[in-house]
Amino acid sequence: MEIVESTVHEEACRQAQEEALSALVDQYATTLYRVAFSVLRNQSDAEDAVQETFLRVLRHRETLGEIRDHRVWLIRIVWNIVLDRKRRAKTRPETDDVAELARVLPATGLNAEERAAALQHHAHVLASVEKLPAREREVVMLSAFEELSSVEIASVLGVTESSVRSRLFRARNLLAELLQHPRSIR
Amino acid sequence: MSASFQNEFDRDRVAAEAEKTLRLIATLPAPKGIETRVKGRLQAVPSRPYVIEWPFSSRDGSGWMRGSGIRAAAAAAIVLIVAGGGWGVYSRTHVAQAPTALVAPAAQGGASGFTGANATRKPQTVVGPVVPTQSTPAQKTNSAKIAPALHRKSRHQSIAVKTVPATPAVQ
Repeated sequence: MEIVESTVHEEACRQAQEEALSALVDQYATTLYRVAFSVLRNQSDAEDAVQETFLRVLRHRETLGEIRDHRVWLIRIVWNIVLDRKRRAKTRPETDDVAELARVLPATGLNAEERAAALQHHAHVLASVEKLPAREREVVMLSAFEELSSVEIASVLGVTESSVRSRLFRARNLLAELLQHPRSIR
Repeated sequence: MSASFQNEFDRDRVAAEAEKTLRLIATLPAPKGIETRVKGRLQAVPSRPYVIEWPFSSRDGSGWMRGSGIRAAAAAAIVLIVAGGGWGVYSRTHVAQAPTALVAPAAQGGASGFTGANATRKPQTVVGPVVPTQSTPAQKTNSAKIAPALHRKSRHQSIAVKTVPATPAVQ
């Protein structure tokens, strides 16, 4: 009799975990997609990364109740996934990034010439970002997400908040240097 | 002073423009229906981990293997089988004892050190030409001196006599 009761309890727990997971998908799937896209710059790759993130959560759903900040926790998971994917994949050519941006960037209020110039500028910026050291690059990319504070970025990267600030300062200087003098590579 | 200030101003402006690009990418909307697709993928994953189940256990968890006593007995039986098998192997295995001393084979052949190595077939060797030795007058006198001395020795004493062959006269 006890066994039957515990089985029913387990089933109820499983049901609750599935509902919680479904709520997490509804709430954070788009945020995770944007984080993934900012690194991978490819729609299907970013969506795959989001799916993999929730599959990992599904595997460890028993720990869902212990997580304090689900948003930061999920961003941390997807961040590790996309960095791992990017590391394993070959370096994407710059032309691919520009073509993908041309496909996804909003084109309202821009004529063809302005749009081409904007795309070229974006491509130049992205190429400069790629030249930054890994630590600075990660911070500057995460700081572009307005919903992430420096404390949350520190939590995602597993460093202190002061470290995030100093890295961000360095990253901005280096980025400006690279954009002003493209040949200066440190 | 003003140049450095201008430089710093330019640097900040360039950095701000670069960040604007990153912010633009960061605010791109996600494709429609991503939540539905993710949920569909999650539902496609089996909820229970796939494991090999005991064929006689029931899905509701009330199978006979759930009883703690029976489980203990089954565990004890497995332990006994494993231990018995190990003992059976151990008891049938005879480890050869290491020899305490090594017996060297008896040396064959003469003092030259060459032997037939117990070969079953030995090739016939051609007997070489014998060169007649011509003893010199000095050797003859030596042998005449040695012969009586040998006869004077006791019989029990073993004396190795090595005669030096005469130098063959090669013509």
